[in-house]
Amino acid sequence: MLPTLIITGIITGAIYALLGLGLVVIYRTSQIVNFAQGDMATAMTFVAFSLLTQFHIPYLVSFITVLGMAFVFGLLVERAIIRPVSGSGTMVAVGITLGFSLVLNGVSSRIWGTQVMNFPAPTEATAANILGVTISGTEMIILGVTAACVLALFAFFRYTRIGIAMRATSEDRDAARLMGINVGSITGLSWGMAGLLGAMAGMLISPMLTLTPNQLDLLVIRAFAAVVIGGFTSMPGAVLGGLLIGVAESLTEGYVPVAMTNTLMFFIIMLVLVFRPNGLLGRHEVRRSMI
Amino acid sequence: MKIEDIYMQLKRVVVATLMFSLASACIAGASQTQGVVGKMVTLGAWAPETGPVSALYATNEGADAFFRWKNAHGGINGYQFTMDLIDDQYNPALTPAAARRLVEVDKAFAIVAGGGTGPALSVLDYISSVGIPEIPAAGALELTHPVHKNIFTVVPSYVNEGGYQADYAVNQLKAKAIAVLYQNDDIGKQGLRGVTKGLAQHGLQPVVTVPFDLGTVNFAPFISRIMAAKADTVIFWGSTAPFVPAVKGAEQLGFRPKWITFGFDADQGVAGQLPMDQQENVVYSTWMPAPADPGMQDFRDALNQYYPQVKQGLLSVQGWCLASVFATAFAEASAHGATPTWPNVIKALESTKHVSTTYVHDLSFSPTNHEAAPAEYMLKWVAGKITRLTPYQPIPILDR
Repeated sequence: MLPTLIITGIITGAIYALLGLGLVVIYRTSQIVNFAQGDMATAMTFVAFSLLTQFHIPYLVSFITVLGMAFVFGLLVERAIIRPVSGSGTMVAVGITLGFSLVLNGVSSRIWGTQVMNFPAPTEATAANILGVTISGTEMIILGVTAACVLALFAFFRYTRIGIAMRATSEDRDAARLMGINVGSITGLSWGMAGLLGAMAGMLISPMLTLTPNQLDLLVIRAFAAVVIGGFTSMPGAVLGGLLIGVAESLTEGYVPVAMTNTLMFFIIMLVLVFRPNGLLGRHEVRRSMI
Repeated sequence: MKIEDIYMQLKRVVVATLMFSLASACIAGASQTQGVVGKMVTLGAWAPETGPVSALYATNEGADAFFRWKNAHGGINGYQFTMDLIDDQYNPALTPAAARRLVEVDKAFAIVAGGGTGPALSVLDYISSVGIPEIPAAGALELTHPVHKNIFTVVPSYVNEGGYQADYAVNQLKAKAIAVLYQNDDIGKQGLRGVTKGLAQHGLQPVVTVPFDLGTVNFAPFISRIMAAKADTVIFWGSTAPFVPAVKGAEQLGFRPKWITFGFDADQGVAGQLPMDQQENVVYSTWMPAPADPGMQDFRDALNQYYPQVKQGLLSVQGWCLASVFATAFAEASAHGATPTWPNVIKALESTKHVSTTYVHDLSFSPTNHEAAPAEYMLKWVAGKITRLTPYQPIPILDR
């Protein structure tokens, strides 16, 4: 039973990690926790659903089209509702994401309805059987995409000019601006990337579950926990946190005969924050106040 | 103190009391004929239009479609209906405000298909004290035990439904080792209680009972525990959305038991997503006709006309059926030119004895029993079509 619990926990953890990466990308450049991440992802997943089931566009074409749309959607969200309040403090922006989440949820419910929908899987194939656990093709894709995203993001932030500019912006927005970096565009770009990551997660997760306007909201809470554990400023931390949460959840559910998952999860978060307030891989921030 | 001062103080107290009473009457004003203006009747319901279980909103759309369809066919004794739906997000903290608005501001005549156990229980005392007739889209025991003079449940209690499923598992499936996988909330726990009571009547007990939280993604750990208990049948008690990942979790581990679950899971959006090898092992219990039944042509036409975007599944059928029960009582209460009032509708409902219509079978209420406990049957998906496995059967009454 132990290998089963660990393997299925890792698969679930990869889902949390994929969603968590979107939260980290935004936080790194704008210090905002985007509470609308789940609903933005859901809206884009519904668009993909329409392309696949109403317009019968091939899976790969729909997938790539929606990733592009999600990127543009993220850019527009930042430009339309986040940038105008950029000087009003983080709490205002966070509040706006919370409100935007409710608006998006209502709009998605209106357009696509509220019933449980059957999102097509990218493949029906069974990919592997490891220690008695059948890993579906979709689950293998999730594991692969999560790993690829982490590597791609690592390379992007490390080796590209825009990535380095994003890191500089996350270090010190004013200094970055003085160095000629267009901070507004960089922040917008991070929202676009987060939108893309969310849509990718939504399209990959929905075939495993079902598609409803609220499906991803519950998962984003877990992703949020993963990011808190891993560190809000760390991409590898989000992945590590996701995997830890996934495996811990799985082991608890397998061995504890009462529903203790949430209790245990928040106990772990509490422990991590007590001993490592910035998360397992998060950066310790020191801010000087100017007097 | 002078006698004049005492007199003045008493006068202030009396005036204040009168003003308070008057204000209370204005605010909480609810009369037994409210909501009926000429031949127009306003009905209402709190409804999860948004929120975590907004899929249940289809029930309210089904009820609304019923009354629109009735209106288009002449109404009931000349009366036309409008449904006032207020979004409470299935959040019991928001339902009281929605209920007060329906009763005190919008002056609804009755509450029909108000969604969900938690929301219905959160306003139970209020609705009971006001006296407005209510037929909720919920089957919790507390709604009818003790009897509240104005609240009637048609949806079977989860305890009784669990008992019916246990009977079917033992008698028809010849199950020897039954596990219960249940959502860790009121719905799941009442279902578990019903299954346990039902099995006890056969001298059995579940081999394992496994709770899960709403929002669970990975069901493999729960399935592992069920496999360890060597169960051959799993009775699932929970919301609609988790059923798919639960069955997929079993498939992931190569575990293919017989499954028994709630009728709502038979909706195509859910059943269509189950692995093919598991789908044929799943049976569903329900009290409602399937949307594709020959007798449901009106339902299909109405939904196509008024809610073309809503899937024609058992959730919308539920709203349609609950509305039909109210409509029958309203027709009797307003027959021969009688003015429809709350007592008339309540009396009509209480006089319902073993009534079967196209939509509900063997419905009975009385002044001492407001829980209809209609007959149920089992169904399954066979070759892409919903197929009945049994005729309508009375369900065991385990909760009275």
